[in-house]
Amino acid sequence: MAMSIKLPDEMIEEIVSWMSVKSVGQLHCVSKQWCSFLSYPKFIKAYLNYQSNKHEKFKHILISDVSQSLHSSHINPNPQNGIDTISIELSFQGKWKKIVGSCNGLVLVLNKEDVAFLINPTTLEYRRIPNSPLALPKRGTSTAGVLEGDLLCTFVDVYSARMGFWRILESISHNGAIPIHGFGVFLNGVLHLLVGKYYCSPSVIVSVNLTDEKFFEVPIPTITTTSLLRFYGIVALKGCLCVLGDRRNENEIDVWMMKEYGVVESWTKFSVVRNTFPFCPTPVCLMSDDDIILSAPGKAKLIIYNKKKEQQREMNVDGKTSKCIRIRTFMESLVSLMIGRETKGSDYIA
Amino acid sequence: MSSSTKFLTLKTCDDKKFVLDEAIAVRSQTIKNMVEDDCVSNVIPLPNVNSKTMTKVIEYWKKHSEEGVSKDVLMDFDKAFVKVHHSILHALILAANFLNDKEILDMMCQEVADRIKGKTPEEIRKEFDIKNDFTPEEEEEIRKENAWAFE
Repeated sequence: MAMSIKLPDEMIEEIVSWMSVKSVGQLHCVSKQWCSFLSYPKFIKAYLNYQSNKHEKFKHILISDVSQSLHSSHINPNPQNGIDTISIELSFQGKWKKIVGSCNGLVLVLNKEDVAFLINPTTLEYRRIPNSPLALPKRGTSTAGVLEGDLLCTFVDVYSARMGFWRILESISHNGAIPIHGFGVFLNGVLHLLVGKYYCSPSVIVSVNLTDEKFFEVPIPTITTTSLLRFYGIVALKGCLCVLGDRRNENEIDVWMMKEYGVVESWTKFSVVRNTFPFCPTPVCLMSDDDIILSAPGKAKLIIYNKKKEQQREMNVDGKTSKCIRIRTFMESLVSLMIGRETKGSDYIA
Repeated sequence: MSSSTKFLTLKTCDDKKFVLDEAIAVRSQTIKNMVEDDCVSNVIPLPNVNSKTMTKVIEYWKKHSEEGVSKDVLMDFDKAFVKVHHSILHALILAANFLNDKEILDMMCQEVADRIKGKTPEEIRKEFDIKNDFTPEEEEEIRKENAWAFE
Protein backbone atom coordinates (compact mmCIF):
# COMPACT_ATOMS: atom_id res chain seq x y z
CA MET A 1 0.00 0.00 0.00
CA ALA A 2 1.45 3.30 -1.06
CA MET A 3 1.93 5.78 1.73
CA SER A 4 1.32 9.38 0.90
CA ILE A 5 4.41 11.51 1.15
CA LYS A 6 4.65 15.18 2.03
CA LEU A 7 6.68 16.88 -0.63
CA PRO A 8 8.97 19.65 0.61
CA ASP A 9 8.44 23.22 -0.61
CA GLU A 10 11.33 23.08 -3.08
CA MET A 11 9.68 20.15 -4.83
CA ILE A 12 6.32 21.91 -4.94
CA GLU A 13 8.19 24.83 -6.50
CA GLU A 14 9.65 22.50 -9.15
CA ILE A 15 6.21 21.12 -9.96
CA VAL A 16 4.55 24.52 -10.05
CA SER A 17 7.26 25.82 -12.40
CA TRP A 18 5.70 23.63 -15.10
CA MET A 19 2.30 25.24 -14.71
CA SER A 20 0.76 28.30 -16.32
CA VAL A 21 0.25 31.48 -14.30
CA LYS A 22 -3.50 30.88 -14.20
CA SER A 23 -3.10 27.36 -12.85
CA VAL A 24 -0.77 28.71 -10.16
CA GLY A 25 -3.41 31.34 -9.33
CA GLN A 26 -5.90 28.54 -8.70
CA LEU A 27 -3.49 26.80 -6.33
CA HIS A 28 -3.75 29.75 -3.93
CA CYS A 29 -7.12 28.33 -2.90
CA VAL A 30 -5.76 24.94 -1.82
CA SER A 31 -4.58 25.86 1.68
CA LYS A 32 -3.23 28.71 3.75
CA GLN A 33 0.23 27.22 3.64
CA TRP A 34 0.25 26.94 -0.15
CA CYS A 35 -1.27 30.38 -0.48
CA SER A 36 1.43 32.05 1.57
CA PHE A 37 4.17 29.96 -0.02
CA LEU A 38 3.00 30.95 -3.52
CA SER A 39 2.81 34.61 -2.49
CA TYR A 40 6.38 34.87 -1.20
CA PRO A 41 8.45 37.26 -3.32
CA LYS A 42 11.14 34.57 -3.33
CA PHE A 43 8.79 32.11 -5.00
CA ILE A 44 7.41 34.70 -7.44
CA LYS A 45 10.94 35.54 -8.53
CA ALA A 46 11.96 31.90 -8.92
CA TYR A 47 8.80 31.20 -10.90
CA LEU A 48 9.51 34.18 -13.14
CA ASN A 49 12.97 32.79 -13.89
CA TYR A 50 11.55 29.37 -14.69
CA GLN A 51 9.02 30.95 -17.04
CA SER A 52 11.65 33.09 -18.73
CA ASN A 53 13.87 30.12 -19.42
CA LYS A 54 11.36 27.45 -20.13
CA HIS A 55 8.28 28.92 -21.61
CA GLU A 56 6.94 31.48 -23.97
CA LYS A 57 8.39 34.76 -22.92
CA PHE A 58 7.22 36.97 -25.72
CA LYS A 59 3.96 35.32 -26.59
CA HIS A 60 1.40 37.59 -25.01
CA ILE A 61 0.33 40.91 -26.41
CA LEU A 62 -1.54 43.80 -24.92
CA ILE A 63 -3.57 45.85 -27.36
CA SER A 64 -5.29 49.17 -27.06
CA ASP A 65 -7.96 49.19 -29.75
CA VAL A 66 -9.76 52.02 -31.53
CA SER A 67 -12.09 52.46 -28.58
CA GLN A 68 -8.94 52.67 -26.41
CA SER A 69 -9.88 49.75 -24.21
CA LEU A 70 -7.27 47.15 -23.30
CA HIS A 71 -7.25 43.60 -24.62
CA SER A 72 -4.79 40.82 -24.03
CA SER A 73 -4.17 37.85 -26.22
CA HIS A 74 -1.90 34.90 -26.63
CA ILE A 75 0.03 34.45 -29.85
CA ASN A 76 -0.68 31.11 -31.45
CA PRO A 77 1.93 29.90 -33.94
CA ASN A 78 -0.65 27.71 -35.68
CA PRO A 79 -3.80 29.76 -36.24
CA GLN A 80 -6.94 27.84 -37.03
CA ASN A 81 -10.00 28.69 -39.11
CA GLY A 82 -8.31 31.87 -40.23
CA ILE A 83 -8.38 33.36 -36.73
CA ASP A 84 -4.89 34.35 -35.61
CA THR A 85 -5.71 35.03 -32.00
CA ILE A 86 -8.58 35.39 -29.55
CA SER A 87 -8.45 38.46 -27.32
CA ILE A 88 -9.86 39.08 -23.87
CA GLU A 89 -11.03 42.52 -22.87
CA LEU A 90 -9.41 43.52 -19.59
CA SER A 91 -11.50 45.10 -16.90
CA PHE A 92 -9.41 48.25 -16.54
CA GLN A 93 -11.85 51.10 -17.04
CA GLY A 94 -10.81 54.23 -18.86
CA LYS A 95 -9.35 55.24 -22.18
CA TRP A 96 -5.83 54.01 -22.74
CA LYS A 97 -3.89 55.94 -25.30
CA LYS A 98 -0.41 54.55 -24.77
CA ILE A 99 1.21 51.27 -23.82
CA VAL A 100 4.66 52.40 -22.83
CA GLY A 101 6.64 49.33 -21.92
CA SER A 102 6.61 46.03 -20.15
CA CYS A 103 8.86 43.96 -18.00
CA ASN A 104 8.41 40.89 -15.82
CA GLY A 105 4.70 40.78 -16.53
CA LEU A 106 4.00 44.38 -15.56
CA VAL A 107 2.96 46.90 -18.18
CA LEU A 108 3.05 50.67 -18.00
CA VAL A 109 0.05 52.33 -19.63
CA LEU A 110 -1.03 55.95 -19.98
CA ASN A 111 -4.65 57.03 -20.01
CA LYS A 112 -5.99 59.91 -22.06
CA GLU A 113 -5.15 62.38 -19.28
CA ASP A 114 -1.53 61.15 -19.42
CA VAL A 115 -1.82 59.54 -16.01
CA ALA A 116 0.47 56.53 -15.75
CA PHE A 117 -0.68 53.20 -14.39
CA LEU A 118 1.28 50.07 -13.82
CA ILE A 119 -0.83 47.00 -14.50
CA ASN A 120 -0.44 43.26 -14.40
CA PRO A 121 -2.67 42.14 -17.30
CA THR A 122 -2.71 38.58 -15.95
CA THR A 123 -3.67 39.07 -12.32
CA LEU A 124 -5.49 42.33 -13.13
CA GLU A 125 -3.73 44.29 -10.38
CA TYR A 126 -2.99 47.92 -11.00
CA ARG A 127 -1.35 50.89 -9.42
CA ARG A 128 -1.32 54.57 -10.21
CA ILE A 129 2.11 56.10 -10.72
CA PRO A 130 2.52 59.77 -9.84
CA ASN A 131 4.20 62.03 -12.39
CA SER A 132 7.90 62.58 -12.00
CA PRO A 133 8.65 65.81 -10.21
CA LEU A 134 12.22 65.68 -11.48
CA ALA A 135 12.16 68.13 -14.31
CA LEU A 136 14.76 66.86 -16.68
CA PRO A 137 14.72 68.21 -20.19
CA LYS A 138 13.02 65.66 -22.34
CA ARG A 139 11.63 65.65 -25.76
CA GLY A 140 8.25 64.25 -26.64
CA THR A 141 6.78 61.77 -24.25
CA SER A 142 7.53 62.37 -20.64
CA THR A 143 7.82 58.73 -19.76
CA ALA A 144 10.18 56.49 -21.62
CA GLY A 145 9.31 53.85 -19.19
CA VAL A 146 10.04 50.31 -18.60
CA LEU A 147 10.16 48.65 -15.28
CA GLU A 148 11.99 46.03 -13.37
CA GLY A 149 9.95 44.39 -10.68
CA ASP A 150 8.98 47.50 -8.82
CA LEU A 151 11.14 49.92 -10.76
CA LEU A 152 9.79 52.21 -13.39
CA CYS A 153 12.25 54.10 -15.50
CA THR A 154 12.14 57.21 -17.54
CA PHE A 155 15.33 58.16 -19.29
CA VAL A 156 17.21 58.88 -16.13
CA ASP A 157 14.57 58.94 -13.42
CA VAL A 158 13.56 55.87 -11.53
CA TYR A 159 10.34 55.41 -9.69
CA SER A 160 10.19 52.80 -7.02
CA ALA A 161 6.65 51.56 -6.66
CA ARG A 162 7.63 49.80 -3.46
CA MET A 163 9.10 52.89 -1.85
CA GLY A 164 6.68 55.25 -3.55
CA PHE A 165 9.04 57.99 -4.73
CA TRP A 166 11.02 59.22 -7.73
CA ARG A 167 14.74 59.66 -7.81
CA ILE A 168 17.45 60.41 -10.35
CA LEU A 169 19.97 57.76 -11.19
CA GLU A 170 23.27 58.82 -9.75
CA SER A 171 25.43 57.87 -12.67
CA ILE A 172 24.11 60.20 -15.33
CA SER A 173 26.76 60.20 -17.98
CA HIS A 174 24.70 60.84 -21.06
CA ASN A 175 23.83 64.45 -20.67
CA GLY A 176 22.64 65.87 -23.91
CA ALA A 177 21.55 62.53 -25.30
CA ILE A 178 18.02 62.58 -26.58
CA PRO A 179 15.83 59.51 -26.89
CA ILE A 180 14.83 59.16 -30.54
CA HIS A 181 12.31 56.50 -29.95
CA GLY A 182 10.62 57.53 -26.74
CA PHE A 183 10.03 54.01 -25.47
CA GLY A 184 12.69 51.78 -24.01
CA VAL A 185 13.18 48.07 -24.39
CA PHE A 186 13.80 45.92 -21.38
CA LEU A 187 15.94 42.86 -21.91
CA ASN A 188 18.26 40.79 -19.71
CA GLY A 189 17.80 43.10 -16.74
CA VAL A 190 18.82 46.10 -18.81
CA LEU A 191 16.80 49.02 -20.18
CA HIS A 192 17.81 50.05 -23.70
CA LEU A 193 17.06 53.35 -25.36
CA LEU A 194 17.88 54.43 -28.86
CA VAL A 195 19.29 57.93 -28.52
CA GLY A 196 20.76 60.58 -30.73
CA LYS A 197 23.28 63.02 -29.38
CA TYR A 198 22.31 66.65 -29.71
CA TYR A 199 19.43 65.89 -32.09
CA CYS A 200 21.83 64.35 -34.59
CA SER A 201 21.55 60.97 -36.20
CA PRO A 202 23.14 58.44 -36.25
CA SER A 203 22.47 57.11 -32.90
CA VAL A 204 23.70 54.98 -30.06
CA ILE A 205 21.94 52.55 -27.80
CA VAL A 206 22.21 53.78 -24.27
CA SER A 207 21.58 51.11 -21.70
CA VAL A 208 21.12 51.15 -18.00
CA ASN A 209 21.48 48.03 -15.94
CA LEU A 210 18.77 48.21 -13.33
CA THR A 211 20.61 45.99 -10.90
CA ASP A 212 23.64 48.19 -10.41
CA GLU A 213 22.19 51.26 -12.18
CA LYS A 214 25.27 51.63 -14.37
CA PHE A 215 25.03 53.20 -17.81
CA PHE A 216 26.76 51.68 -20.81
CA GLU A 217 26.50 51.79 -24.57
CA VAL A 218 25.62 48.98 -26.94
CA PRO A 219 27.18 49.63 -30.35
CA ILE A 220 24.75 49.82 -33.25
CA PRO A 221 25.39 47.89 -36.46
CA THR A 222 27.97 49.21 -38.86
CA ILE A 223 26.27 50.12 -42.09
CA THR A 224 28.08 49.53 -45.33
CA THR A 225 25.38 50.38 -47.83
CA THR A 226 25.35 53.71 -49.55
CA SER A 227 21.64 54.31 -49.29
CA LEU A 228 20.33 56.81 -46.81
CA LEU A 229 19.47 55.08 -43.60
CA ARG A 230 17.90 56.38 -40.44
CA PHE A 231 17.38 54.34 -37.30
CA TYR A 232 13.91 54.99 -36.01
CA GLY A 233 13.13 52.37 -33.42
CA ILE A 234 14.28 49.73 -31.01
CA VAL A 235 12.39 46.53 -30.18
CA ALA A 236 12.99 43.04 -28.79
CA LEU A 237 12.15 40.06 -30.96
CA LYS A 238 12.53 36.49 -29.73
CA GLY A 239 14.64 37.73 -26.84
CA CYS A 240 17.04 39.59 -29.15
CA LEU A 241 17.60 43.31 -29.24
CA CYS A 242 16.66 44.81 -32.62
CA VAL A 243 17.03 48.25 -34.16
CA LEU A 244 14.88 49.37 -37.04
CA GLY A 245 16.33 51.18 -40.00
CA ASP A 246 14.35 53.19 -42.52
CA ARG A 247 15.98 53.13 -45.93
CA ARG A 248 14.75 56.36 -47.34
CA ASN A 249 13.75 56.43 -50.98
CA GLU A 250 13.43 52.68 -50.91
CA ASN A 251 10.46 50.46 -50.35
CA GLU A 252 12.01 48.53 -47.46
CA ILE A 253 12.84 48.80 -43.82
CA ASP A 254 15.73 46.93 -42.25
CA VAL A 255 15.46 44.99 -39.03
CA TRP A 256 18.86 44.53 -37.42
CA MET A 257 18.91 41.78 -34.84
CA MET A 258 21.65 41.30 -32.27
CA LYS A 259 21.63 37.49 -32.23
CA GLU A 260 24.08 37.24 -29.37
CA TYR A 261 23.59 39.87 -26.75
CA GLY A 262 26.51 42.29 -26.52
CA VAL A 263 28.37 40.80 -29.48
CA VAL A 264 28.75 43.49 -32.13
CA GLU A 265 29.58 40.99 -34.87
CA SER A 266 26.27 39.23 -34.33
CA TRP A 267 24.10 42.03 -35.73
CA THR A 268 22.21 40.44 -38.62
CA LYS A 269 19.74 42.03 -40.94
CA PHE A 270 16.52 41.11 -42.63
CA SER A 271 14.27 43.40 -44.61
CA VAL A 272 10.56 44.03 -44.58
CA VAL A 273 8.84 45.35 -47.66
CA ARG A 274 7.01 48.55 -46.84
CA ASN A 275 4.41 48.43 -49.55
CA THR A 276 1.31 50.23 -48.46
CA PHE A 277 2.44 51.47 -45.09
CA PRO A 278 2.20 55.23 -44.81
CA PHE A 279 4.66 55.24 -41.90
CA CYS A 280 7.42 52.86 -40.97
CA PRO A 281 5.92 49.69 -39.49
CA THR A 282 7.16 48.38 -36.15
CA PRO A 283 7.75 44.67 -35.60
CA VAL A 284 5.97 43.55 -32.43
CA CYS A 285 6.83 39.88 -32.11
CA LEU A 286 7.45 36.74 -34.08
CA MET A 287 4.47 34.49 -34.57
CA SER A 288 6.62 31.73 -36.04
CA ASP A 289 10.12 31.64 -37.50
CA ASP A 290 8.99 33.37 -40.68
CA ASP A 291 5.88 35.27 -39.64
CA ILE A 292 6.32 38.63 -37.94
CA ILE A 293 3.53 40.68 -36.45
CA LEU A 294 3.89 44.31 -37.47
CA SER A 295 1.96 47.25 -36.20
CA ALA A 296 1.20 49.77 -38.87
CA PRO A 297 0.87 53.21 -37.34
CA GLY A 298 -1.65 55.46 -38.97
CA LYS A 299 -3.68 52.51 -40.14
CA ALA A 300 -4.79 51.07 -36.79
CA LYS A 301 -3.91 47.68 -38.12
CA LEU A 302 -1.83 44.66 -37.33
CA ILE A 303 -0.07 43.01 -40.21
CA ILE A 304 1.43 39.56 -40.43
CA TYR A 305 4.46 39.63 -42.68
CA ASN A 306 6.06 36.47 -43.99
CA LYS A 307 9.79 36.97 -44.40
CA LYS A 308 10.30 34.05 -46.75
CA LYS A 309 7.46 34.75 -49.13
CA GLU A 310 7.72 38.53 -48.66
CA GLN A 311 3.96 38.60 -48.37
CA GLN A 312 1.74 40.35 -45.93
CA ARG A 313 -1.80 39.97 -44.72
CA GLU A 314 -3.96 41.59 -42.09
CA MET A 315 -4.02 39.91 -38.71
CA ASN A 316 -7.33 38.39 -37.71
CA VAL A 317 -8.26 38.95 -34.07
CA ASP A 318 -11.49 37.34 -32.83
CA GLY A 319 -12.64 36.71 -36.39
CA LYS A 320 -12.26 40.32 -37.45
CA THR A 321 -9.52 42.49 -38.87
CA SER A 322 -7.67 43.88 -35.90
CA LYS A 323 -8.28 47.47 -34.93
CA CYS A 324 -5.19 48.13 -32.94
CA ILE A 325 -3.85 51.52 -31.93
CA ARG A 326 -1.11 50.48 -29.51
CA ILE A 327 0.50 47.16 -28.90
CA ARG A 328 3.18 45.66 -26.66
CA THR A 329 4.30 42.18 -25.73
CA PHE A 330 4.34 41.06 -22.13
CA MET A 331 4.91 37.82 -20.27
CA GLU A 332 2.43 36.35 -17.84
CA SER A 333 3.68 36.67 -14.29
CA LEU A 334 2.59 36.66 -10.68
CA VAL A 335 4.58 39.81 -9.88
CA SER A 336 2.40 41.70 -7.48
CA LEU A 337 1.78 45.43 -7.32
CA MET A 338 0.40 45.36 -3.85
CA ILE A 339 2.37 46.56 -0.88
CA GLY A 340 -0.08 44.84 1.38
CA ARG A 341 -3.54 43.51 0.95
CA GLU A 342 -5.08 46.57 2.54
CA THR A 343 -3.83 48.80 -0.26
CA LYS A 344 -5.70 46.88 -2.88
CA GLY A 345 -8.18 49.03 -4.67
CA SER A 346 -6.66 52.33 -3.61
CA ASP A 347 -5.72 54.72 -6.41
CA TYR A 348 -8.83 53.94 -8.37
CA ILE A 349 -8.51 54.10 -12.09
CA ALA A 350 -11.75 55.74 -13.00
CA MET B 1 35.75 -2.36 -25.55
CA SER B 2 37.15 -1.91 -22.11
CA SER B 3 37.08 -5.01 -20.00
CA SER B 4 37.02 -3.09 -16.75
CA THR B 5 33.27 -2.85 -16.32
CA LYS B 6 32.85 -1.76 -12.74
CA PHE B 7 29.84 -2.51 -10.64
CA LEU B 8 28.43 -0.55 -7.75
CA THR B 9 26.19 -1.81 -5.02
CA LEU B 10 23.38 0.51 -3.93
CA LYS B 11 21.54 -0.08 -0.68
CA THR B 12 18.08 1.38 -0.23
CA CYS B 13 16.50 2.43 3.06
CA ASP B 14 14.66 -0.89 3.36
CA ASP B 15 17.98 -2.75 3.20
CA LYS B 16 17.62 -4.08 -0.34
CA LYS B 17 20.78 -4.21 -2.44
CA PHE B 18 21.05 -3.37 -6.13
CA VAL B 19 24.16 -4.23 -8.12
CA LEU B 20 24.53 -1.88 -11.06
CA ASP B 21 27.00 -1.06 -13.81
CA GLU B 22 28.86 2.07 -12.72
CA ALA B 23 28.40 3.61 -16.17
CA ILE B 24 24.64 3.49 -15.61
CA ALA B 25 24.63 4.47 -11.95
CA VAL B 26 26.50 7.72 -12.65
CA ARG B 27 23.37 9.06 -14.35
CA SER B 28 22.83 10.13 -10.77
CA GLN B 29 24.93 13.24 -10.21
CA THR B 30 25.05 12.38 -6.53
CA ILE B 31 26.56 8.95 -7.19
CA LYS B 32 28.83 10.41 -9.87
CA ASN B 33 30.26 12.90 -7.39
CA MET B 34 30.85 10.11 -4.88
CA VAL B 35 32.65 8.03 -7.49
CA GLU B 36 34.76 10.95 -8.65
CA ASP B 37 35.68 11.89 -5.10
CA ASP B 38 36.71 8.30 -4.60
CA CYS B 39 34.59 7.94 -1.53
CA VAL B 40 32.81 4.83 -2.72
CA SER B 41 33.52 1.83 -0.57
CA ASN B 42 31.68 -1.38 -1.23
CA VAL B 43 28.13 -0.25 -0.76
CA ILE B 44 26.50 3.12 -1.45
CA PRO B 45 23.70 3.74 1.02
CA LEU B 46 20.61 5.55 -0.26
CA PRO B 47 18.85 6.45 2.99
CA ASN B 48 16.07 8.44 1.28
CA VAL B 49 15.03 5.94 -1.38
CA ASN B 50 13.08 2.72 -0.94
CA SER B 51 13.54 -0.40 -3.07
CA LYS B 52 10.26 -0.02 -4.92
CA THR B 53 11.17 3.46 -6.08
CA MET B 54 14.76 2.46 -6.84
CA THR B 55 13.51 -0.36 -9.07
CA LYS B 56 11.61 2.21 -11.13
CA VAL B 57 14.62 4.53 -11.32
CA ILE B 58 16.90 1.70 -12.48
CA GLU B 59 14.32 0.63 -15.05
CA TYR B 60 14.46 4.16 -16.45
CA TRP B 61 18.26 4.38 -16.35
CA LYS B 62 18.70 1.05 -18.12
CA LYS B 63 16.26 1.88 -20.90
CA HIS B 64 17.84 5.26 -21.48
CA SER B 65 21.35 3.75 -21.50
CA GLU B 66 20.56 1.09 -24.09
CA GLU B 67 22.22 1.55 -27.42
CA GLY B 68 20.33 1.82 -30.68
CA VAL B 69 16.95 2.67 -29.16
CA SER B 70 14.96 5.00 -31.38
CA LYS B 71 13.52 8.27 -30.13
CA ASP B 72 9.98 7.04 -30.67
CA VAL B 73 10.57 3.94 -28.55
CA LEU B 74 12.00 6.09 -25.75
CA MET B 75 9.05 8.45 -25.95
CA ASP B 76 6.60 5.56 -25.67
CA PHE B 77 8.62 4.20 -22.77
CA ASP B 78 8.54 7.58 -20.98
CA LYS B 79 4.81 7.90 -21.56
CA ALA B 80 4.16 4.53 -19.98
CA PHE B 81 6.71 5.18 -17.25
CA VAL B 82 4.83 8.15 -15.79
CA LYS B 83 1.48 6.34 -15.77
CA VAL B 84 1.62 5.42 -12.10
CA HIS B 85 -0.24 6.30 -8.94
CA HIS B 86 0.48 9.81 -7.72
CA SER B 87 2.11 8.51 -4.55
CA ILE B 88 4.72 6.75 -6.70
CA LEU B 89 5.23 9.93 -8.71
CA HIS B 90 5.87 11.83 -5.51
CA ALA B 91 8.31 9.19 -4.30
CA LEU B 92 10.12 9.35 -7.64
CA ILE B 93 10.38 13.13 -7.35
CA LEU B 94 12.01 12.82 -3.95
CA ALA B 95 14.32 10.08 -5.18
CA ALA B 96 15.30 12.00 -8.33
CA ASN B 97 15.99 15.03 -6.19
CA PHE B 98 18.17 13.06 -3.79
CA LEU B 99 19.98 11.26 -6.62
CA ASN B 100 20.25 14.57 -8.46
CA ASP B 101 18.89 13.29 -11.76
CA LYS B 102 17.45 16.34 -13.50
CA GLU B 103 15.98 14.32 -16.36
CA ILE B 104 13.75 12.18 -14.15
CA LEU B 105 12.97 15.09 -11.85
CA ASP B 106 11.76 17.29 -14.71
CA MET B 107 9.73 14.51 -16.26
CA MET B 108 7.98 13.65 -12.99
CA CYS B 109 7.34 17.27 -12.03
CA GLN B 110 5.86 17.95 -15.45
CA GLU B 111 3.60 14.92 -15.09
CA VAL B 112 2.36 16.01 -11.66
CA ALA B 113 1.82 19.54 -13.00
CA ASP B 114 -0.18 18.18 -15.95
CA ARG B 115 -2.35 16.15 -13.60
CA ILE B 116 -3.07 19.09 -11.31
CA LYS B 117 -4.20 21.32 -14.20
CA GLY B 118 -7.94 21.70 -14.28
CA LYS B 119 -8.46 19.99 -10.93
CA THR B 120 -10.53 21.65 -8.23
CA PRO B 121 -8.77 22.75 -5.01
CA GLU B 122 -10.54 19.90 -3.21
CA GLU B 123 -9.15 17.32 -5.65
CA ILE B 124 -5.67 18.79 -5.30
CA ARG B 125 -5.88 18.60 -1.50
CA LYS B 126 -6.69 14.93 -1.78
CA GLU B 127 -3.79 14.27 -4.13
CA PHE B 128 -1.27 16.05 -1.92
CA ASP B 129 -2.81 14.98 1.37
CA ILE B 130 -3.41 18.56 2.46
CA LYS B 131 -5.93 19.65 5.04
CA ASN B 132 -8.21 22.52 4.08
CA ASP B 133 -7.36 25.06 6.77
CA PHE B 134 -9.54 27.86 5.36
CA THR B 135 -12.77 28.79 7.07
CA PRO B 136 -15.65 28.99 4.54
CA GLU B 137 -15.45 32.81 4.75
CA GLU B 138 -11.70 32.80 4.16
CA GLU B 139 -12.07 30.43 1.26
CA GLU B 140 -14.63 32.66 -0.36
CA GLU B 141 -12.36 35.67 0.13
CA ILE B 142 -9.31 33.94 -1.37
CA ARG B 143 -11.43 32.69 -4.24
CA LYS B 144 -12.50 36.27 -4.94
CA GLU B 145 -8.93 37.55 -4.86
CA ASN B 146 -7.89 34.94 -7.38
CA ALA B 147 -10.99 35.13 -9.53
CA TRP B 148 -8.75 36.06 -12.50
CA ALA B 149 -7.31 32.55 -12.41
CA PHE B 150 -10.68 30.85 -12.75
CA GLU B 151 -11.94 32.78 -15.76
